[in-house]
Amino acid sequence: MTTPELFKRTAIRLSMTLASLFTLLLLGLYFGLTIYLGAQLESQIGARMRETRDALVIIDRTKGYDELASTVLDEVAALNTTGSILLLLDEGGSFVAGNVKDLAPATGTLKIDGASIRTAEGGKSLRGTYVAEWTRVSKGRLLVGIGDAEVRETLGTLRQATTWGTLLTLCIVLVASLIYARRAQRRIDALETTLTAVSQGNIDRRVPVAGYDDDIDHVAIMTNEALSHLQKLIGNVNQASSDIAHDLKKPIGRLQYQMETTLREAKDVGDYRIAIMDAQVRLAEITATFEALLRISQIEAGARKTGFQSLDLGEVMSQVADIYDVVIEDQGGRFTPATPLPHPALILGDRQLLLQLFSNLIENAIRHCPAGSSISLALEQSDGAFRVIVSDNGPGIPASERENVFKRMYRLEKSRTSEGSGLGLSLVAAIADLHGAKVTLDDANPGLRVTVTFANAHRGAA
Amino acid sequence: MRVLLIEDDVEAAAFIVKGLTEAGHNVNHLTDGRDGMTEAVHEVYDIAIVDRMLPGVDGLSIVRALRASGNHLPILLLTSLGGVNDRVCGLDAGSDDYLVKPFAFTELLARVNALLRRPQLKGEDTRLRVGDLELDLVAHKAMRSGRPIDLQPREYRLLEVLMRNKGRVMTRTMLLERVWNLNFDPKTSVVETHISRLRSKIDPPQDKPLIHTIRGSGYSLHDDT
Repeated sequence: MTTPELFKRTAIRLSMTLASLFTLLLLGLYFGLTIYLGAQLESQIGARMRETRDALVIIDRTKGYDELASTVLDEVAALNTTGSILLLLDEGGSFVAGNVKDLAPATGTLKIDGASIRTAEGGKSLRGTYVAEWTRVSKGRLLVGIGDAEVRETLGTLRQATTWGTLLTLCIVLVASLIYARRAQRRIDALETTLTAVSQGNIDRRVPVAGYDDDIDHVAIMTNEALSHLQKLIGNVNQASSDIAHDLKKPIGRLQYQMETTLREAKDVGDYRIAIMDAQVRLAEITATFEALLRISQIEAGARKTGFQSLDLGEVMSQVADIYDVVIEDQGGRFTPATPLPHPALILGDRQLLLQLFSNLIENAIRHCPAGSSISLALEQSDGAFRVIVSDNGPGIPASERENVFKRMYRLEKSRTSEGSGLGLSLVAAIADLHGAKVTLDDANPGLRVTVTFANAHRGAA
Repeated sequence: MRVLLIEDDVEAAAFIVKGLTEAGHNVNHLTDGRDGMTEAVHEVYDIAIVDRMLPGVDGLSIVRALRASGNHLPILLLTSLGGVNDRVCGLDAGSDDYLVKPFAFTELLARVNALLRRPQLKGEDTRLRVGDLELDLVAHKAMRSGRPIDLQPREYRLLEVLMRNKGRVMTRTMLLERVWNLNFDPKTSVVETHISRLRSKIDPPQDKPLIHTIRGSGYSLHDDT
């Protein structure tokens, strides 16, 4: 990977930014510290200078000027560094004792540059800055000063050390963060690689999940879920296409044979007329099958979810009862509508689709039950979920077949002769799925009991 | 009645034009959306039948544009999109009815005639009357030759729809939409069963039959022989 590309990687960028920030802060801290120390230094030097001076002044006062002069001489002799300067002048301003010369009295606290000072012996100049004060003594003037050269040198060394230390830290931090960044980057790259492969058509690729349970892992898991859903949708589309191919070609084929037969065998206008009317009926069936397949695909793709509104399942139940009670009774059967709940059973959904769902279930019952059968609806509630139950006392569905009935055009062997394209229950499954509801089939002993459970009770105004 | 048909499928259009002309209507057929829109805006028609998918400007846009300009021309939208959201979309755009292709011509004709109905009643009218059958819209009661008839709510509603569309053919799908508020077709004989129950109540053998079955189309309520 080229350098510019490297820097476009989030993880790398992040780690380098943090490392640099950290280093800058550290450096700032160190320099701030040394400046602070420098200021402290000055005041401490001043204090020491005054201490020394006060001690000498006391000698002058208690033991006299000559004693002072002799002490200064001793001090100068004892001083082996030029950390302090001492200069005693008499009334006339002449040199009496000291380790420096040629300095004129002045008032206030002075900061004398060492380069402008000459030593008494040898006339050399000094390093650093001296904080000094002239004081009047009994027979002259005394200069005491303390220099900062040594301490500044120490500080300088400290600064150097910290600078090198910081640079070393920076390097270590950079390297460490690069290592961690690369690790994170690899995971992000894995996402990119997988998605590229998917967009090229390999829909069963999934992103590796590292198991750290961090944000990248979460994105990976979500991506995999989305890919699985995508795969399912594509599967549905493929399934729909092959269903259409298989299941529509059959009735279309039959229609064709029928037309051919008519051409061959029809004798008069009456025959043709009947054949054409038959053909119309078949065409209507084909169209209905096609529409149903299309509707299922659309529902499975979630197309209708945006139109969801708050509605009362109890109302839907009574609408359904309104349609079928008379029909069932007319066929000699018995219909029991759902007893309403004491309060509205509110859910979010699509009224027309739900009507279709229950309509299909009831029609299924009507179609498979012999005349005189009993069909009933019920609406129950428990644990925040609503259950709609459609049950009959007909032949039922054997336990082994129940899973299959939802597949697109599946039909139970014995019902192959009855009408209906077999799409009814798969439409039920699709609509239930869209509403987040579960459909279960059970034995009603005798008969079939279909339960549709809506888990998402909706709290809101009806 | 003057009918404007905007449909680019030439065969389907020929089918529609022929049928409507034989039914006594005057049909102007255009194949392009833009031309159709101009025609609808500038000329006077009693009803427009607009296909949803058109070259130039699509059907929904035509409907929206007409409604936005304050034009109340009755519009029937034709479409092969029988899908889930499409009906709602079509009606929301401002069309008055919506028919999915392919359709039986009788369905189209029945819906066109229903849209062409002139509102006979100005202002509130509280009674509907066909022959000696009377419907009290306020009390929700029906009477035949002065005899009160006991009706279930659905039967009342069915009778009301038939009476409001007196003399017109109401197809099964139209009745399912208006009486039961269903936009799909339950396979079972819902409409037939309710019609026969209604018949047994309001068309007793001694009275003149008012509910007529139009074979291949639907039902119609009228008292012409």
